[in-house]
Amino acid sequence: MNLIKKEDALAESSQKSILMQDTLTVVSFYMGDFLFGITADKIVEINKDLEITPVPLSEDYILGIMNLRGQIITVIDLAKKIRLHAKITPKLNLIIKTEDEAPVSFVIEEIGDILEIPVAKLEKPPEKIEGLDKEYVEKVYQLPDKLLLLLNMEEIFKN
Amino acid sequence: MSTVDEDILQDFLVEAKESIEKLEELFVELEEDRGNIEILRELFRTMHSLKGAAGFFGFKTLEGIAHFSEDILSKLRDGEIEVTEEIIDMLLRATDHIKYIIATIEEKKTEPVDDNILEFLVELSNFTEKIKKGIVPKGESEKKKEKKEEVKEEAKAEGTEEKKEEKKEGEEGSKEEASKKEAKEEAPRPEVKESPKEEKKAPAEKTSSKAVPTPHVTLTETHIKVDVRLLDQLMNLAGELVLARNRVVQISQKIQDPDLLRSVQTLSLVTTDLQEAIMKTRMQPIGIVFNKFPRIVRDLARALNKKVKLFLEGTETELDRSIIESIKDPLTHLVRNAIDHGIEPPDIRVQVGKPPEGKLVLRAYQEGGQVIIEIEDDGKGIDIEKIRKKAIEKGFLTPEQAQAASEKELLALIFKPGFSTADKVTQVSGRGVGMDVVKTNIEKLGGSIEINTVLGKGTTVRIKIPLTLAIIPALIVTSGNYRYAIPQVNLKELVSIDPTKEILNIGDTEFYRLRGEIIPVLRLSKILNLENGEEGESKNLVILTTGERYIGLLVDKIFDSEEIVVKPLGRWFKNIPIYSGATIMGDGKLALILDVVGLSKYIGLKVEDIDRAMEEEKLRKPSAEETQFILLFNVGEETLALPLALIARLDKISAQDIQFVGGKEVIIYKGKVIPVVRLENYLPLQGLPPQDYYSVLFFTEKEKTCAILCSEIVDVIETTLEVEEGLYNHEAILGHRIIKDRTVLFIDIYKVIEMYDPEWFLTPTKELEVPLRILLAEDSPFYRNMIANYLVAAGYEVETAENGAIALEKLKTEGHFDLLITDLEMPEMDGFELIKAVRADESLKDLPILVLTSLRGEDIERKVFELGANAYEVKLEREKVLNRVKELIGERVKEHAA
Repeated sequence: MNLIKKEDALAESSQKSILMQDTLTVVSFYMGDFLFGITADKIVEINKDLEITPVPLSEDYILGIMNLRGQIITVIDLAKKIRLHAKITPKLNLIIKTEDEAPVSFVIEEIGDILEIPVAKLEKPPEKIEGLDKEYVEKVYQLPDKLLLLLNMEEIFKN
Repeated sequence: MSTVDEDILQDFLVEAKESIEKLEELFVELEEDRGNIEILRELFRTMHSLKGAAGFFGFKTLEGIAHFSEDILSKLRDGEIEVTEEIIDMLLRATDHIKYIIATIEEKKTEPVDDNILEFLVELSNFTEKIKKGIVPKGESEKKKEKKEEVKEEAKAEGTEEKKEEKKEGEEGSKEEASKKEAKEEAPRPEVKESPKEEKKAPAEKTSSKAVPTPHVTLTETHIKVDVRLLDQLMNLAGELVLARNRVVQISQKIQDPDLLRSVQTLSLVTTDLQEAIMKTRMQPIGIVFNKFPRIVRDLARALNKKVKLFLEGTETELDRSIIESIKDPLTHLVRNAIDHGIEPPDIRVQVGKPPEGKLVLRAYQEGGQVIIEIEDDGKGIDIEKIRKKAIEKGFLTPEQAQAASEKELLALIFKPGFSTADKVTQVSGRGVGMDVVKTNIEKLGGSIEINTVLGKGTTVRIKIPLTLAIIPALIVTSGNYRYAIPQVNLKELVSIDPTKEILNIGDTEFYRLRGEIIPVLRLSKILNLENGEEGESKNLVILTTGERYIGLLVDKIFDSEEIVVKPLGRWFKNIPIYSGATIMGDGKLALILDVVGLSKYIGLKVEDIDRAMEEEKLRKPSAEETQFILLFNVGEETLALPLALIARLDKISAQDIQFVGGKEVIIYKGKVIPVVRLENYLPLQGLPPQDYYSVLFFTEKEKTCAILCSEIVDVIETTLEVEEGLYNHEAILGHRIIKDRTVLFIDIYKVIEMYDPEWFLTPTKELEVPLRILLAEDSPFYRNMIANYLVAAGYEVETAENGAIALEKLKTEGHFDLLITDLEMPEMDGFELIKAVRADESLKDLPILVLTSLRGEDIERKVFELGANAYEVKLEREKVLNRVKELIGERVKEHAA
């Protein structure tokens, strides 16, 4: 089921904002108490209820593979991958573009808002973030009530 | 004309038709835009390649027409003459003739023999001459003119060199002519044009009145060129369609609506046809690759001072184009190896009694969804001992391991990186890189490779590859609730076993005996670390082959074979060798595709261990590997056994059926009178007490049948024929063994029958003064005694040996033998090695060899014949064996007489 499928529009706007060095469109989502963000241009769609086929012998953060309209995509337990110390209940598949042919899916808990963030307001992550590996956080943005952690996709996709 | 030539011819025709079309278009364009040098260049190029292709196929007339046309075009292009309507006319007529010729070739495979065409050729030739002459006045220098004329005359004779000469001429004269050329281009144009035109007009008109009719042909398009990417896309779509079809089929079976089922059936058929048709578009004959080899072989043979004759077989065998592409390099490598390492220099070949010219065969054929490619040479073969030595030297094996290693294992080392047996590095091969790459490349294609070699006789490399890569047939199995696909290429057979009884443990590893072969067993659920509901529930053993060895894979369930579409797994799984991809099943769910070679590598070390262990076990227990169905039956209190295969029929009869006629007991069975044989009359048995019903074993041979009476049939068991000898010294008892806590006597039914009726097996023909001597190498006492018995009964003198080594010793030391009969599976020295050793021995190389085996298999049969055996029979088929023996020795006697 497609919850969001306006990638074109999103991609366009985010591109514009990068060009203008103005704002960044970020899709936010929750895992445990954390609020994460991934730039919208990286996101293909959000799905739920897709059946995952486990791939024995693979890394522990890999949940398996699934069939996305005839394409086989890898499903990654994002919490495990970024070593998030929190108990989460995976509910949604966040399908992410990669440099490879096939996209991958991050399993997340709950989807948040789509935010326009002024680039100038992005900050370096603090020295220590309790309960998670800092290397996967590229930038942070202080929301009135919460800290938004922008994920470092390069680091996540690094082998 | 062979298929490949025909294919090339087809290609040529397609191209020619395109060329013609292009020519026509361009000539028309040229008429509109006469000064366009680009058009002229294009015309020239097109005509030129047409000429070249025609020359290649030997189509002389076509070549001629194209040649003259090209000639005219070159002059037009170089600006030496002007484009006139007349010239275009002539060239268009030439094109029409070309068209006509092409149409004839397409129909009849040869050029038309037609006066009109020849006349046109002459006309065209004259026309070309005229034009050339027509250029001359442009030069305006008298000397030049003369000189040119001379050159032309020569050039005409030399045909194609004409153009070159022309150019040279042009260069020489360029200085002088520079100004004139300019002039020619501008002012004097009409003047220059005038004269040749008038000259030409006349003959042109003349010729047309002479009526060389221009043939009017329309060429039908039978081939078109298609972008390969489009084909790939079609292939992918076909794949998707297959998946969708599979899904619809499943749904329709659930719904069970007759209308739906019918239409789904049609859909299914059409989908399959469509898929096959699309697949066919991508198929190309392997000849495309094979045909490159005559040149490669020639060059290599010359470089290495060897003589090699290359034979290409099965060039029409078709393969997916992607595979054709990737097979080229491995094949080239193997051919190089064959010439460099395999085939000996001519002088050495002559010394060993081979023709100086080596034979290299490249053979391709289809076999059950796979293509087999063989590279066979009749060279010196691979020296196993050398590999053994090298393996130790290079540290691939310890000396102990090397000693214990089988031929197959040693040959497999050739494919290990860094292993080369070449003594010196030549420019061609021997750098220790290559064979491993060859193997990797072939495995990448989902194929396998194996080597068969006979020292001194030659080597055959056999490659098995799938027909196509994208859609493959696969067996679907389950383990822990998930499905896995196993490519059919790797599948040997399916066996249903009882894991608690039939799986044996050696150390940590499990194995299964499959008709004598020892196969390591892997449990899929264990490999995949899956929780398996109940141990021992998996009863399905899938026998897989990696090309090198067999592996048994124990799975929970086996489903049907299905066509699956191979989809790649992401890079996250690159380091897991056991999957080669995934596929989408009919219900939309995914199944991982198992990579059998990867699987065997993944558990690699353990397998080596098993082999070691089994090798030892084999030495300890001779003949343990041959199993047979044994019939156990009681005569009174005693249990007897004999191979079920020897009995024609089993039945029960009532005591009343037994009649006493003419001093003999007989029964009437199916309208025939059959004599009754009571075993206790010939064997030291207690006897058969009277019963109401008896079990009867019917024994039939030589068109005679007898009924053996017994109390009851106990069981039929599959077991080895191990027996203990010595306890019973009776000629019809081969030995005894304890089965199910009872002592069972294995009887020699032939001997019993012979005792009952000494004439039964007698063949009246053999009455030789000196009996023929046969050496029988057989490790199992049961078979050894039985076969020896019936050979002796047939009048031969038989010597026996327990294994190959003893047999070889006896052959060398115990005088002349007329025939060697050997088993294959024997301890110490097996049958294969024995045959090799015999054939390698100068004094024994003509000794006929009959292989007797309980292992039936084309592979084995092929192998023994490759090694030099003369015949091959199955042990229990006595009559056939005797006939074969007669045939072999008979041949020999004849030879002696001659």
